[in-house]
Parts: sequence; C-alpha cells; structure tokens
Amino acid sequence: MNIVDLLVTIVVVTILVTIVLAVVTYVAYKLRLSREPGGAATDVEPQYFVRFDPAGTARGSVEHGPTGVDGDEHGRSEHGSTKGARALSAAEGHAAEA
Amino acid sequence: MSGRRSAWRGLVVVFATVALTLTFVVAALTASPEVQALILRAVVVTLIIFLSILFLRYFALLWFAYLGHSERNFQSSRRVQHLPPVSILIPAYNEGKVLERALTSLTRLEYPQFEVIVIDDGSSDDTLQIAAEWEGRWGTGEFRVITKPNGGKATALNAGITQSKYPLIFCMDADSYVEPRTLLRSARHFDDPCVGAVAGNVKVENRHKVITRLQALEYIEGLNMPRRAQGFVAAVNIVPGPVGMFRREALEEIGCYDSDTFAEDADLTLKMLAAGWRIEYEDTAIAWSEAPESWTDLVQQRYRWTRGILQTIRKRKRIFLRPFPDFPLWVSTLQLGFEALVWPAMNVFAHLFFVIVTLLFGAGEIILHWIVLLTLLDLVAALVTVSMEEESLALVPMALVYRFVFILFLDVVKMLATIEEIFRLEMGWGKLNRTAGGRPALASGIHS
Repeated sequence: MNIVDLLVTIVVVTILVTIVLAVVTYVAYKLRLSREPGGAATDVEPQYFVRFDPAGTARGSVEHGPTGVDGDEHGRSEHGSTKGARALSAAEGHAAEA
Repeated sequence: MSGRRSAWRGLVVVFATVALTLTFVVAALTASPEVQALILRAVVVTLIIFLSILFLRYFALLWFAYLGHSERNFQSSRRVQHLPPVSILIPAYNEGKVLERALTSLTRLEYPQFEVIVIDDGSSDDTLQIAAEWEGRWGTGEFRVITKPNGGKATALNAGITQSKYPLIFCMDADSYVEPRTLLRSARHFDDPCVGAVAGNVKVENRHKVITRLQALEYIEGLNMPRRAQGFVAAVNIVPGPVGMFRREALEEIGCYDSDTFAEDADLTLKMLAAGWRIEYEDTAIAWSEAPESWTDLVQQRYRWTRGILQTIRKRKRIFLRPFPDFPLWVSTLQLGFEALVWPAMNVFAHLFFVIVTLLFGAGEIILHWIVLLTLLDLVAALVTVSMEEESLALVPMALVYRFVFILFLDVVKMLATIEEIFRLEMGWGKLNRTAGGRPALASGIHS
C-alpha cells in the first residue's frame, strides 16, 4: 500500500467514523432527553409570537428578590450587609488599585 | 408523554436519513457502467462547485474581517465623547454554580456608572439566594435581584429591561464573565446615534480538553470571523447572548425580546436590523464562556442553536423574496439561512458523496487532494484569525482536524436538528451541565 492509499484510507475511515459518531451521539442525546422527567417538552404551552408588553409585564408578574428591595430605591439587603459588605470593601479595594 | 414521543420521532427521522443514504449506495453499486461513469463525472463537477462556494465564502469573510479589523484599529484611537450609564442584565435559571463568578467579574468593571440586575427565572436551586447576597453597591455599580416565575430567557430579559433605568443595556449570561474594559469598549460605539447594538467577542474559557479547545478555535474562526466581517458593514446578524450592548430606545422601539424562538438573540438582532438600526462588532469587548465539555452536551447546545435560528428565519421567510427596499436585512437573513441550513447539509452530503465514490469508484486521490487543500486553507484561516485576536497559537494545530472531524460532526447534528425543525417536532430548552471549571472568578489574568 503506497502513501496515497494509506492517506485515503485514513481520510475515508475518519469521515465515516465521525458521521457515525455524530449520529450515535445525537441518538444518545435524544434517548437521554426521553428519560428526563418531563421529556423534551414541558407542560408549559408553547408560546408563539408573544410580543413583549412593557405596561403589562412591568409591575405585574415580576417580584423583587427576597430582600424586598423596591424599584430604583434599592439599598443593601440584610444578606448584603454581611457578605455584601465584606465583598464591597474588596471591590472598593480593587477600584482604588485601578 | 409528548417528550418521549418527540424523541422517538427524532430517532425515526435519523434512521430514515441513514436508509436513504444506503439506498443511494446500493443503487450506485447495481447501476450500469454508463450510469457509474456519470456518477464519477458528477463527483468532479460537485467538487468544483463545492470548492468554489467554499473558497468564495472563506475569502469574502477573511477579506471583510481584515477590513473590520483595520477599521477597529484605526478607531480605537478615537476619543470617547460620552459614556452613558449602563444597566447590566443577567437572566439566570439554575445557575447557582456559576453565578458568583459572573458577579465577581462585574465588580472589576472599569466604568463610571452602572447597575446590575440579576433576573432569577424561577430557579429551583440556590441561584436566588446567591444573587441576593450580592445586593448592594460595589464600587461604581449597584447590584440587585428580581425574581419571576419560570418563563424562559426572553421573558427574563424583558422583565430586566422593564426594571432597569439606564439608556444603555448590557446583556450577559450567568455562565459567562466579562473583562474589566468590556463595557467601556462597547459603549463607545453609541456615540453614533444610528447604532442600536454592539456585539461583543465570546471566548471559550475552559480549554483543558480537546473538545473545548476545538470549540475555542471554532469561536474564533467560525463565529467571530464572520461577525467581524459583518461588523464592517454594521450588519451583524447575531448579537450573542453572553455579551451584547443595546440602546434602550432601539429595544423599546422593536418591542424587546420575543418568546417564540429558541434563539432569542438572533431574533432580536434581526428585528433591530429590520427597524433600520446599525449593529456593530467590538472584538475587545470580551466575555469568557463555559463551553460544553461532553459530546452529548455539545449536541444539546447545537441542537437548540440550530432549531432556534431556523425558527427565527421561518418568522421572516417572506424576506427571502423581497431583497428591496431592505437590502442589508435581506443579506443578513440570507446569510443566516445559508450558514444554518444550506452549508451544513452541503458539507455532510459532500463528505458522504465523496466517501461513497471513493469506495465504489476508486476516486480516492481526488478526495485526498480536496482534503489536503481544505486543511491548508483552514490552517491559514486559523493562523490569521488567531493572530487578529491575539490568541494562543497553540490553537492553530487544531485546524488539522477542525473541518473533517469537528465541523463535520456538528454539521451532522445541525442537519438532523434541521430535519426535526422541518417536521416541527417538539423541543425543550434543555439545561447544560455547568462545572464553573473549578476556577477563581477573575476575568483577567486567567487567559493572558
């Protein structure tokens, strides 16, 4: 077998193995999906062409975080005053370095 | 169980595709010598057509990417007139493992005034608790969190837009983290009142496996190079989820994000182009993102990307027949369609076709020349694009297996996903496994 034949064999085998592996991985993904609770589709109805309505969504379905921070007038939370304060000083340190 | 039914339908589609291919092989084997000679001539013609399209595509992209790069170098010396305050939005659904890293990177941003809003999209893990711990002021930024029932990324981003207050909006993913100068680099483009959005540069962070190194090269050569070329004509067709800045006015004009596709970033970008806004690319606005580390996770990600882009194109199918008056939008949509639909199918069928004729008609030498030529082209393109991005040259040798292993693998997956989309099989968002790489949360200093 000359070098050209050897290279051709390598190329052909690589291409075939890649295609087969891609199909097998795809099948594995689909099987994994089918075993997941809820499967590929959730119980939620598919949403088609739902245009965002700022007025409707703005204050309706959105809740603030557990700290009760409201709109633009937010401050530091109770959590923020512990870990946040520690991290804040670190951040200010970085800012000072910059 | 509709999910299980959908999965089985997908398998049927796969086996039908394989059966069709095998039928072609058997038909070719049993054909008369005249027909076989015809097939051989078809190989040569197919080679010429395929190579012509491939070369044209490559050189056009490289040329425009080069022009975009030169333009960026020229403009980087331009003095920034004004830096408006920025609202940073991070939609998060079960991102507890990686969120802290994203938030830490934001404390290092070099920008005079910004706010960070984490939108918890009804997570069932500790995402909300982690985000809440970060509320408060960090340097020049204010951090806060809002939560809503799970409704998808688009609804989370829309909720964040509504709750934000600044004229520029920067969207990023919870599994990404940004470089300190990312906001600064993006915001300078908005001096031009016609610019509606700026796409940033997404890079792969976890490069400790072959699969992620291949993705790192793909992001540079396959995603960023076209984006750089599109940026030259201010018609980028996807502002990527991990790093994109938008003008609030433009977002409000187009009605923010729609929830009807799985590629909300591509959909929003095309809406913005349709509204006449310019969309630019900034390669120094960098976000590091975690790439899938297993082949199945990679399939899951690309499956969603492909079907999402096809859904985006399907929404605008009438554009294909109307190049005027909106020519830039027509070109962008056409290119998106070509890259998502035509190119992967061409690539897979060309490879299959060539393998079959090699095995049946001994045309291996032609195929070998073809592969060698393409690999050389990939090496050159990798070298050019890696140099443009001042990335590690260690990625360049990956180009040796880039096309006829990695891209072929992805194109097979894209083609199968396309078939599912054509049949409109049900799909879900899917959730990739996150590792956070076990690395510290600092954007700079990791990849120098």
